[in-house]
Amino acid sequence: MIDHKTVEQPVMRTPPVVSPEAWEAARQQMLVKEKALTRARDALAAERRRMPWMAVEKAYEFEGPNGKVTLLDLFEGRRQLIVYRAFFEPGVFGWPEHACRGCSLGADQVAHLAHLNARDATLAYVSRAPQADIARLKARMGWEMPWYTITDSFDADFGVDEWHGHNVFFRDGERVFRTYFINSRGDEAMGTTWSYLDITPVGRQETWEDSPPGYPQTPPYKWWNWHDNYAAEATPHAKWVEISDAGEAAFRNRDAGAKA
Amino acid sequence: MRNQIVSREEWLKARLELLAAEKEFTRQRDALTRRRVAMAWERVERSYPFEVHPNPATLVTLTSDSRRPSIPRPPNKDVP
Repeated sequence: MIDHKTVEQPVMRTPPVVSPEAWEAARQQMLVKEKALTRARDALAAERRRMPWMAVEKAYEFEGPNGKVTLLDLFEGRRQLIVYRAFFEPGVFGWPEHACRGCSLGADQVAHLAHLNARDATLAYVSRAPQADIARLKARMGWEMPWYTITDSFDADFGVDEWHGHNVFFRDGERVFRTYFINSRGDEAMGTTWSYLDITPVGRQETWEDSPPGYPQTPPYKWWNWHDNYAAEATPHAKWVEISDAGEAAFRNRDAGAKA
Repeated sequence: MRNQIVSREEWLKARLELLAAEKEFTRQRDALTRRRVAMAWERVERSYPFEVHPNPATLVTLTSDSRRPSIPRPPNKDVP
């Protein structure tokens, strides 16, 4: 922890304090720019869904909690896979008690994976550390994502041998394709269900998205569920559909009213 | 559904093109953060008390006599 009191700093020049009305006006101005950024983000995700794919020809093997597994196994039966390479191995600061600090910060912000899984996508962490160390680290830090040990050239082949990064794959039967890669400041934005879905080859799979024809899409809100209830409720609950429709209608009316 | 399948070289080329747009987006996000930092502030005049879950020691005290009703805690500035 940095003791801010002992660090010599110039006096912080804070923004002006204004009336609630002036503050709201400033916020509305800001919101226009923020909405433009959100649209730009959606447009980027749409471009991402149109990226060409690269066939993965090698049969990569990992070590899992129950022994050897292949890249195909990492999908856990789903069609999409996000693999984050985290640095946890001898030579990394913190070893063997801890993983790399940046990677650990990232692991701390991973959302509950039930929502991502419900959209046919799996997240997996991979490192060079043996499974015993990974199991100990996960227990210590309270992390629950699947976490495998790299055993071959997977890291070198996918640009994550010297730096962390997220690789995204699509599975068509037994065939695997690399669809996307992001690292550096791209990694810092990861962790939420939405940030992960926006880098998957099929996206959030919601009707409002700009996706190529034939991509799976269902209405927004309806597929949302409690993280412990997806398995029990395979199709949207009728009452929830009703409530979310009413909520959306009220929201849009309010929005239209605010613009009038 | 299946996107165009390309060689490793072509794939990397496509990725770098998208990356340029993504970096531009990151810069836009940073610029927006700078605007947010510079945004005017509104003074909050009321104190707005909240309730927090009693700490374990208090919980033990409260539950030691099941007939005793739970006591609302006064606002405690030391509890984050």
